[in-house]
Amino acid sequence: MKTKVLIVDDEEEFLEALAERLESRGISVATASDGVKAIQLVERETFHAVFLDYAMPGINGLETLKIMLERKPDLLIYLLTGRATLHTGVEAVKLGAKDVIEKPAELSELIDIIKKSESEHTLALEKKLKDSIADILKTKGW
Amino acid sequence: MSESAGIDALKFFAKITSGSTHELNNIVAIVNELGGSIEDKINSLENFDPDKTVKIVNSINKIYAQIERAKSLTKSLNRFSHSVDSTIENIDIIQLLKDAATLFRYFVKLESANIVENYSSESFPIRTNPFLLFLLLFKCIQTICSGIGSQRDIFLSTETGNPFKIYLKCITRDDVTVSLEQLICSLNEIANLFSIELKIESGADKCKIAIEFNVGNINQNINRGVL
Repeated sequence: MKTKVLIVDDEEEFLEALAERLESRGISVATASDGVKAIQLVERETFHAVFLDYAMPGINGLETLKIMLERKPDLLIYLLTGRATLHTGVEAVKLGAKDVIEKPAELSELIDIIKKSESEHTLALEKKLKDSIADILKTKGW
Repeated sequence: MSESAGIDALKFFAKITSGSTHELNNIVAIVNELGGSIEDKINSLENFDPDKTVKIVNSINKIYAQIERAKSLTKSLNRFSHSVDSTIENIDIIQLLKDAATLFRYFVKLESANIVENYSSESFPIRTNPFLLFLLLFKCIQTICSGIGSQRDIFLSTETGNPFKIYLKCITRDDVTVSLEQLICSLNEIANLFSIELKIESGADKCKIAIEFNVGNINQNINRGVL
């Protein structure tokens, strides 16, 4: 599966430019301009990482984060925001965000995070698979 | 204007400022990505004149340098505007001092002076009133600026411990016009205004001045409702 990320931001031009730069480096990118669209995408598709803006019209980044993790607890979500106060950061991590990244971020920093998330995602999948196999073996008494 | 109307006015000012800095930061982020996008496209071009490529890349690097400058200013301004969000909160004191230095540098520059930063740690969490701490620092720096003469350095440093200490040091010019006594008197007035103790030391030759205050004092006074 090709590395796939979701970027959520209400600034369309930012989304377009960042998506283009990541895609030219072999990363598949989906974008959403608000929390509701982002939640719908997360329910339909699988992402290695989600980058979420904090201040957005409608539901904000923290609320979006909360709903996403309620529906997909294994999702790796990063708050990508220009409004990274200590309070917001602590709140985001408490709610389950992997980290808070200041916007604009260096592209190399984002790519490093995406690579790490991909490895973490693969490991989590392997663990899930092993656990299911172990469960089957236990149930069947093999 | 009543005290509560004053607080409302301050919160309104902070709301507009924080919203606008957030928007400015978005603009910076877009310019940053578009700059990167142009760089990507240049790098992917074939048979392109190397001299022209170098010139374009140099121009893009200059744009990046200005983006860094704008980023630093908007982030500091955004955090400053959020400093009135609550009376007392947990903050990173080193980040606050860095923000103060960034925001005050323009005013210090107008006095032909300069802020030199040297912190004892990368970050340090404390509980304080960030807005009042910004104000106290600004008043001290402004007073020092008026007393030390032009082309001087103001050294902003810290000592990590309990209590956490902030130092402001400078050496006045020989031909300084404002008397050191007057400067010390002004600083003591600030200390009285904030109900805190400022430790002020002046050198034997009356050309050096060092101010020390610990953030713990501000906390205690805030907790007692003095500030």
